[in-house]
Amino acid sequence: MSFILSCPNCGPRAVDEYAYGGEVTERATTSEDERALFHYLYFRTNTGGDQREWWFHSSGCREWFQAERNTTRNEVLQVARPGELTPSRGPAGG
Amino acid sequence: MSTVADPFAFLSPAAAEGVVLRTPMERNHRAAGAEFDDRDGWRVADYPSNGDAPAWAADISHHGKIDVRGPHAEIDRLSAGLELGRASHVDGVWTLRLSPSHAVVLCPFPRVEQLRSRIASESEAICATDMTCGWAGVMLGGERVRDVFMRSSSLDVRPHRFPAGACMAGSVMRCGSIVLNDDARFWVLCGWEFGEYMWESLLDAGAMLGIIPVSATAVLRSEVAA
Amino acid sequence: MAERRLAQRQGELIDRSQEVTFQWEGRPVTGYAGDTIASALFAAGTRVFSRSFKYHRPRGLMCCSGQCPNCLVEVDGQPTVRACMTPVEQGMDVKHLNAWPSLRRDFLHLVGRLTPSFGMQVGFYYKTFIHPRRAWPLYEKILRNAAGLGKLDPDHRRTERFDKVHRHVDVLVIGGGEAGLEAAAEAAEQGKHVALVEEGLALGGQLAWGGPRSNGRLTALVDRVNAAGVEILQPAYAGGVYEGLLVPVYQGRTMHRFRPAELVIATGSIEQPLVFGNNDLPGVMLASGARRLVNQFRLMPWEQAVVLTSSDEGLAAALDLADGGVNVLAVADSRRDADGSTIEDAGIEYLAGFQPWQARGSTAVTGVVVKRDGEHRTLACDLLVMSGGSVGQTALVSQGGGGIRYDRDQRRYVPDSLPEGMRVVGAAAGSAAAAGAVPAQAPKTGCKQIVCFCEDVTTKDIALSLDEGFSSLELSKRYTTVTMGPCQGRMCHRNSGLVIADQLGLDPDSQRVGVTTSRPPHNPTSFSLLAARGYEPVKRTSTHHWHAEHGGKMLWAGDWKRPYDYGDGDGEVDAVHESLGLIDVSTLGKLIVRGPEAAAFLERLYPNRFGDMKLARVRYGIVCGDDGSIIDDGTVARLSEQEYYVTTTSSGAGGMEQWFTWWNAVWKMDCEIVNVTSTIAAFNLAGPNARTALSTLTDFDLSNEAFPYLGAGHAQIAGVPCLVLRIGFVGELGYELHLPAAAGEHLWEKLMEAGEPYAVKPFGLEPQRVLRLEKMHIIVGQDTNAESNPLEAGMPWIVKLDKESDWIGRYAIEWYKRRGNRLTLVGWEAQNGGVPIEGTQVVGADGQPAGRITSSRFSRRLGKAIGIAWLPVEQSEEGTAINISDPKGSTIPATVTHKAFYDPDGERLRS
Repeated sequence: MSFILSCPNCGPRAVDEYAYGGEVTERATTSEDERALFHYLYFRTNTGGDQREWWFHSSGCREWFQAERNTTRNEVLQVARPGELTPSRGPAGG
Repeated sequence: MSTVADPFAFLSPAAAEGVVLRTPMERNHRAAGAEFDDRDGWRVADYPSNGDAPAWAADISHHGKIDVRGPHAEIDRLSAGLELGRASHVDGVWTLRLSPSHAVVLCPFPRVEQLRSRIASESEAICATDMTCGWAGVMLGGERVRDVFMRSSSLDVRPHRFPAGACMAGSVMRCGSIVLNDDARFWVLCGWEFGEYMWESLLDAGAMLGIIPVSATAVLRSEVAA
Repeated sequence: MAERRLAQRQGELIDRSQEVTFQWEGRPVTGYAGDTIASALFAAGTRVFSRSFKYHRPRGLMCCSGQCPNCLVEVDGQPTVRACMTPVEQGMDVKHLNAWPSLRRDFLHLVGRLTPSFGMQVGFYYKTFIHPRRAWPLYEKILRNAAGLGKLDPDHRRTERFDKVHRHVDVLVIGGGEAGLEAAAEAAEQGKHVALVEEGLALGGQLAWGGPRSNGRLTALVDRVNAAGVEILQPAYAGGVYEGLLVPVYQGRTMHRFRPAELVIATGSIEQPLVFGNNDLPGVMLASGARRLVNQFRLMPWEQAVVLTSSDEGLAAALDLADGGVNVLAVADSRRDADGSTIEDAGIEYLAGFQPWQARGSTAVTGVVVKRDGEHRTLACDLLVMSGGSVGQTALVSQGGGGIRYDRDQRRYVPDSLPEGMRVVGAAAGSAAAAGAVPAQAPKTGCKQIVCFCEDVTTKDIALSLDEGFSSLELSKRYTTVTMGPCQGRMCHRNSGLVIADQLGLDPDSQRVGVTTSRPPHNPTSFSLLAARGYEPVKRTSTHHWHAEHGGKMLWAGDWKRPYDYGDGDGEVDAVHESLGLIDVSTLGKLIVRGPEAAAFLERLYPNRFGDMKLARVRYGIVCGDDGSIIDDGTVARLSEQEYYVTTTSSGAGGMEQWFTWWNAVWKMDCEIVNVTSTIAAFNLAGPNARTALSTLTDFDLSNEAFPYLGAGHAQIAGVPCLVLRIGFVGELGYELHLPAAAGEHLWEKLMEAGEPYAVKPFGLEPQRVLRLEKMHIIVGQDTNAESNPLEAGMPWIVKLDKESDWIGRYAIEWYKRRGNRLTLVGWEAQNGGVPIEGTQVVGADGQPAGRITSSRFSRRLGKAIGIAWLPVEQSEEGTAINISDPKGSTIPATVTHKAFYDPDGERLRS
């Protein structure tokens, strides 16, 4: 794995400068709905397609950002500061 | 000094009295036959060479460093609108803008305590932390400085991509570092715990190019001028 | 006896003014500077350069361009050097590779000829050497010695240094032939920063050996490229194309790790051999190989040549050879209706429709038999030229993620879809001309038809593999090893595909034929180049050298070096209990959390309550994941209303900074998080004499009244500004000092000095482990795992479920609470003197596993083994008798306890 990923602060760098933070998920906020809680804790969409995910620039600015990356082509579509990704082109997996 | 206005004064070697302050590279300097000087409490290496070599390296770990964080607007104001990846040099003080909310300030050690205090007092929202011994520092220079750097890091330091006054945070010798282009001399700052490793690795990278160690006093502008 | 060279001419690589003498098989050979080992040996009369891998057949020069395995030799002790690509140097010591006792008389070739042909067929290890089975170890030994190319000296140590350089350019061009040179010049003339890589002996590709006319064009191109300022790396090769257009280029002893903005692949095409009987005899050469010898090294020792072809390329080659002085007797063209008039005009016999059947000769070619329908002709020759068509060199395109497709007109694979930033130019991209059909193999010759020159795979081997069910190229390859040799398919991929298609009655582009997967390295690459200069980051504390200089056994603890002990682990434990010990805990993670919402932030992150902490106090805290599992532990000190100082485990430092900043990236609370792990050294002075000793260095009031347990205060100690935390991991009165790292060694020395009257001992990680275990303090990651929640880990008091704020892990822990505990983390004491091993099971009454030992040590103070274990709730009551399994077979009886083994009420700690 040697693709280039752009940090919003530092610009394009080799992917080994970063730590991967997993899919962007929505946090469960109650223990009443057991199924929803377990889904949040243990399941991931694992999309074969465009995925929104977290990245940490561990060898650089040490700040978090988000990326939208196509997981089948391993192609980064956009990066943005947390919460600022532009709306996706279609449903996840499309 | 036992009353503490700043509860984090225990980070600052400037608050030490009668203490021998050491950089992580002391044993390396001793093994290379350097003598030592006392500079404001720091044991600083004194090398015989005057830097007349294709490449040179100096231990600048004792230089004052301040980590500055806060809201974008505050950091903008403090840095006079410095852009990301740019550094300014005013009156012996470097300010490096690494992210909208993060800047690093480099100044001669005798000034670091006061400067940190002044920056912190500018605004409640600003967090200024003395990181003088948070980052070890190696300054690289000489005509082949970029060749040494290219053997140490995959960061792009071509002149048009990394001109004088540019700065960046990235991996050097596999450690997260901060790099500053001080007009054909590169400051390389890494975690204090990596200082010895960074010094040895950079000298090794430059070995085939004829790199030599030199005294910080010979190359740190602020100290040469003083 | 040296061959006479042809007249000096533009395009030759030799410098006739400089002679170079080297050793070949122990005898001196003289050539010219600019000669390769192969050309100098050829000029000196050598015709057999090696013996083939399996059958030990004699091999001579075939491609002269580093594509085939025939000229592999050993140079100055290094095996598998391509003689045709290596310039001669004065004093070189060159030897043959795999023949014994000599190249001319090879014992193993004799064995091969005596053994019935089924003896060495594909799969012969399993077929021939299976009986008797118990003889296999002997067979293996013999086969190992017979196989392989060259010997490696296991004691050889490299003394030369290898280099690695990271390069950024606008354009990287791979291939310095006509197309590559043009592309490079054009880009550089536009002002781009361009680098070009060429693996050959000279720039120019086909222009370099194509004869005088080509050479003129080449000179002009090279001038243009130099004028434009292109950086040229030659000889150098691209080792592969990795994701993100990462291209390692190897030149001599340097790896240039290129990241171009744009990659131009101009790797040209590779001329292919033809498949017929004895097609590997010395003297059977590719047209381009013969032309290189004539044009670049000015050698023409042959009496008479025959050219075999199926395309116009071959006709042009025949004419160029004739121009160069070769006596071309005839051209046999497998095409029936091609135009051979240029050949006939040159006075060469043109045999239309004739295919090669068998080459004649034993150690050198003496003639060839060609056939058309029922008719055959035998032609005498000592040079048999194969012009078998060419294929594009597209390996790098495939490696870089490009797709290829079969073009029926060109009868070859061409690049199809290309990733962003990659361009293919020149012959690699395809040729304008249609190609003639190449005969896949000759019918029934009775002698070997070599398909894979590297691995000695014949048409018969492939037929057998198809018969046995390996019914495609990918499957057959794995059985016959075709394309798996040093050439990696350059000489055999096309032909093996044709043979398989022919034998299965398929089209060459059928999926069953297909292509094999191209993988880096593109050319054989030494490990030294890949390793180059290796740097392993190591973290050292400010007192590292003090520890090493005073007997500290420095070991890796994560990415830090830390002292295991100082040579007297037992004595170090005793010192802490009885008088005074000092440990370096600088590796602890340290974070500042400050701001108006700092308290609220910590409340949302920890199960603890921190908002109500008094100033100048420190508290133990654990961090949970959202699944309620313990992911780290440490302390939190409140230094002011809005300022907290957090410590984490050593290995968790970076991870906790990430964890804290991650959540705040979502919550965006008004607080700053600063990682000060590097800045601060930390030492723990512990033992009954800690207060007394420390008081000699500071004015700070250390009395129990002024500074009780869990206090946090600022003090100047021996001139060093410190944060003093009265906490302890080791169960005795202790002070943890946090100070600037630059003052670390100074303060450590002062502390040791002040502790001397109390026989202070520095203590390392192992004594610390024993001490903390005596107090039943857990180590996250050792006593806990990914499923351990604080309720079951014996820390329900830490979890403040009544906190108003949401906090990480809250909902999972609520769920655990409702479910009830199933496991408990407890202490145990062994009863019979045995010392359980960490990781062993607790054995239940029913003989089934019922728990696990996470920590175990023998405590000399208590005279028994103690430790921590996970047990099912039903078996975890204070005083329960348990049995711990022992690998030696028996079990060790132990008793459960919930109280610390040593000073359970913490009196010594709080004194």
